[in-house]
Amino acid sequence: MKFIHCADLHLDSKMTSNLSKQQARERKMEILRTYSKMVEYAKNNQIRAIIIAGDMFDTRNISATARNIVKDSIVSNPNIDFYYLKGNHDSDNFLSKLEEIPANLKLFSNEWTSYSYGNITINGLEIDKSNEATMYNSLVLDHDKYNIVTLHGQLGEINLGNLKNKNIDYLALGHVHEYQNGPIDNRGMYCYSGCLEGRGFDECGEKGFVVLDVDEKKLTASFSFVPCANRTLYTLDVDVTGIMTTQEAVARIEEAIANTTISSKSMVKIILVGEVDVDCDINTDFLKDRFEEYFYYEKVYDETKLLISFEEFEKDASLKGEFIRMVLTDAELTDDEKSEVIRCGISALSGEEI
Amino acid sequence: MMKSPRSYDVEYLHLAGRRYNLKLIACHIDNFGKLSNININFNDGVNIINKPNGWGKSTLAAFLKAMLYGFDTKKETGALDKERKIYTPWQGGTYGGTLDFEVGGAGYRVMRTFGNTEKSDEFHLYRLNTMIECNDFSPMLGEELFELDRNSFKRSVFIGQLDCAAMPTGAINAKLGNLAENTNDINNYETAAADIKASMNKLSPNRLTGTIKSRRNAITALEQELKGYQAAEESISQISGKIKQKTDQKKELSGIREDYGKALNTASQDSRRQAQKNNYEAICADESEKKKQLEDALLRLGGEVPDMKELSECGEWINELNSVQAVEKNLDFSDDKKDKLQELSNVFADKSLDDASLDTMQKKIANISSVKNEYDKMELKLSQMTSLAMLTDGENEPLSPTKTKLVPGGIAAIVFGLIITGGAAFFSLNEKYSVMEIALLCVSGFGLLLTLCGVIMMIVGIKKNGRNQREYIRKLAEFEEEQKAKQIPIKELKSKLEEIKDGIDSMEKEVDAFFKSFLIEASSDTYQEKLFELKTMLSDFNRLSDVCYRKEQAAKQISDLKDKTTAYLGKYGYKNDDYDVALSELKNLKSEYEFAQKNYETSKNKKASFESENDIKEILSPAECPYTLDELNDLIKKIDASVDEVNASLAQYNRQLDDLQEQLDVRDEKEQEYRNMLSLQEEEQHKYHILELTADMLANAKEQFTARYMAPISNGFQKYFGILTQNTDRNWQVDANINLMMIEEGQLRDVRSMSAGYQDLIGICMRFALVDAMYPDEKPFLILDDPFVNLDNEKLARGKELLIELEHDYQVIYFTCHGSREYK
Repeated sequence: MKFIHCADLHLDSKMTSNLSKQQARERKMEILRTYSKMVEYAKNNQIRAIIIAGDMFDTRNISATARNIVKDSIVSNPNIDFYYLKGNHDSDNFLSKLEEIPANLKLFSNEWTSYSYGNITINGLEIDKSNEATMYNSLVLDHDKYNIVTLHGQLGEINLGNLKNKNIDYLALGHVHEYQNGPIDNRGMYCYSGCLEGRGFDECGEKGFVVLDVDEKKLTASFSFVPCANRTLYTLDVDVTGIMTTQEAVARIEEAIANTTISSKSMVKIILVGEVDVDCDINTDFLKDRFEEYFYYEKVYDETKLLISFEEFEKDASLKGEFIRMVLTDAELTDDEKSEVIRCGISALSGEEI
Repeated sequence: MMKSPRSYDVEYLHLAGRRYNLKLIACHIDNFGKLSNININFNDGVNIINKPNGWGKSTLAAFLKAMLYGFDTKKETGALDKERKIYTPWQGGTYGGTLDFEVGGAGYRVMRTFGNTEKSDEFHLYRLNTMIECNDFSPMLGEELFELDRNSFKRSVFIGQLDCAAMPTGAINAKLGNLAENTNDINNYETAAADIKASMNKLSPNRLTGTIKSRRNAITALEQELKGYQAAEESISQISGKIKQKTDQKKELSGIREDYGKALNTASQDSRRQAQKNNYEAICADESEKKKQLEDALLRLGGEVPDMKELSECGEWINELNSVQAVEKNLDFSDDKKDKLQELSNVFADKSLDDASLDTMQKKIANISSVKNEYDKMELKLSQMTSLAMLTDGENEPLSPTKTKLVPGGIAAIVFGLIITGGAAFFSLNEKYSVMEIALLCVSGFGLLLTLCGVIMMIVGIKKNGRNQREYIRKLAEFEEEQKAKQIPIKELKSKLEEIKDGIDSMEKEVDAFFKSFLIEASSDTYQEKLFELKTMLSDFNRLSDVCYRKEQAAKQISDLKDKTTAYLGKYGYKNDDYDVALSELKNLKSEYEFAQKNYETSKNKKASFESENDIKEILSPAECPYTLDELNDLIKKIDASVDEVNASLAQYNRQLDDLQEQLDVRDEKEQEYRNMLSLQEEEQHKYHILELTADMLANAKEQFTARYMAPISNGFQKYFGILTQNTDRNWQVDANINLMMIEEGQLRDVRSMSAGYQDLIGICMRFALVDAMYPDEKPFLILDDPFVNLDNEKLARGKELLIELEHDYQVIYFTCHGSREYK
């Protein structure tokens, strides 16, 4: 029997950070489309149930479009059960607007709720202040069954140690937007499916859902990550060590892009790294404009460090030399501060924009 | 082929007693930029090189720097390319050369060759006295000698025309800066400081226009606004509580509603059961009633239900009775008719006469008449036959047969033939083989033929005569037979006539006897009449006998029918003779009975059917619900009204919750905005902090930098200005920005207020003062590129004096392109 574990869909997310209004609108629709794509996958792959481990929606007030798409996906797939565990972003708005809860929409509450398919059980609890202390002791699972438990929260806030030896086979977690898994004890595994679509550059890499395949007779299972995001966000570090001009940075970035397989529909944050001379000129605005056509969205960050040593300026009889020597020998400044102060001072002395 | 190096003579002004810690001795340029294969010997003091513009003075200066410092790995700010590339030999060849110099009394030769990169550069240092390579200095020779880096060196040792040119107001200040930093250092400090200040002001946390300040205000406002949303959060909590309360209430009401629903169901079942019970009771009552009606109907029939067949039979009896009575009534049998019957009975008593007998008699009578007619006809015929037989005798007797002439003819032919033949034969015997003989033979042949024909004719004639004779004999026999036949019928006819006559008589006797048996006298002429009369009598007798018989039969039948009908109807209590009425009533009673029976059966079946279809025990069980349907409906209506109220409240609360949640969504956005602002604020504060640090550091650096050079510059300036102007009264002061100020009457005076010529001189003095300041210990050589080009003769003379002064401390390489400015 196969299950989909997904979480942090954040449908209806406004997506206004980074993107233009038009792009934000597109991305909002794309997230809904990716959700539909996942349901379509479930339909075509004999998935018995989809476990949504929290944060299905991003806002309290859900748009009619999002609500209807989700509702229709549930109603039009009566053979697939939808387990919806509310996360910190979810409110009752979706459910309260439904005239009738579809039979295949299974809900959880702030008490452990259990559903079963023969020897397979799906258990879930919506964590709040009333149950965060008692949730571990109140969880009782049958040793002879394959037990799936779903929760929404950060490991740490969810005490994995307290979930040991509770007969959990698969802990379907939500809240962390990156796919990750690990053991709970000798029996079970925990897994964050991650989000379906990355929304910011803190959510880079492949996004999707997890397919859990349980052998009903042996009560063993395997799970795999299925990427399904429409767009992927990437952070591209470009080493520009030794360059002196923005044009040289362009060449390095072009080279770095040529060496990757990032598609043009991706969203890319280009970070310039490495060490450059104090006189190096890097104009990130120019670079952003220069590479605008390469990707759906891109931005350029300059995180280079100054290639600078006291010795280099030790015998520089100039204000710059004096200044750099003074900064470098200042014990109260951190290395980063030194670098920034020097860069700022040099830019100022060079008449460049600070 | 190697060209011999060109040598330039350098005018040397020896100033005895002067010593230089560092002095250039000679250089050899293999190839460097445009310069190729050049040897220059340097002397102490001022070395004057009078060359036109474009000869390569800057290249020579760069060569000297390259020999001391090598090439920088990076491009110099503002330069088009790296020095290494700029000075790549135009004509190729070895890139580099040698420089001989003396320092601390020891002579050295530095030899450098340059490749495409620093790695391929070569550096060798030799002691001049031994020409043995040594490690007394590293490739960073310049820095080790002067304690200054290459750029500082370059900036200070090369003094160009413009450095000493009369410049517009403020130029001296700039030139001072340029000495220290050729492009963007000290003279840019103010701009840099101003830029930093402007950036800080833009960001300022204290100025109203500063983004940090304004953002702080915005953040504070946003914080206040966000605090306002706490109320929304609390309201959501309260409303959620109320929603929960109302939801619980709704749940409770729904539970009650459900109970009422169940009760309604029970009541409905009770009601249904009651209806069924009522129905069942009605069915039972109906069955009892119908049973009673049936019993009554049976009672009216006297306890016995007439059989339909019997009733039908009885009906037939009554109909037959009525019919027979009508027939009997219609039968006319008056006394006359009785008498007549009696009379006719006497005639026909003991006699059997029926129509067949009468018909037989009728036929006999007709036969008599017919036979009589036949007899008459035969009698006539006999007479006719007799007459006719007499007339026809001999008429048909056959004639004797005629003899044919063929026989005699044949005989004649034979004879004649024989004669001819004999004659011819005879004559032919005498005639041999003559024509005659032939002719006679022919005649003889003809005679034979004729004889033969005569024979044939005679045979045919004999046969024909025999045949005619036989025909005659036959006809004669027929004739005789016919004569005999004509005589036989007449005889027979006569005999028959006699027989007929006897027959007629016999028949007439019989007929007469017949009539007499019925007392009727008849003759052969009246047979028909009497026979008709007899027939009429017989008909009357039969008719009257029949009427009499039928009357008697009808009376008997009436009696029988009445007996039967009376007996049958009597069974059901009908005593009168009005059979039709009685039977009709009986039938009605039977119909009523049957109807009642049918009704009863229907009712009984209905009951049985109901009992089979329903659980009578359950139907008859007492009601379970204490409420009636109406009562329950009222209760449910009330509950529904309450649920509606709760729903309305819930809808209201949900709307409020939606509004509040929308506000919280706005709050979330504001929080995001708040976080973004905080992040930006932090970023800008950091930037401000960096700017602040930069401003401080830069200010301190500038202060320290200028402090280091301020006094030496001031002293140096005083010295050089004194040499130039022979005026040592004026006090000059260099401020922290290396701005030269003149102290005049206790007031600081800007040099920009001085004349242009003075400003030029001041500029030159400042450059030398700065060089003095920068090289407090090891003095470098100076390269002067025609610095006095713009000076008038008076000042030029003073400039030259200045050079003499410089000679004390510096080895000077003085380029000029005009003899007037040569140092003499």
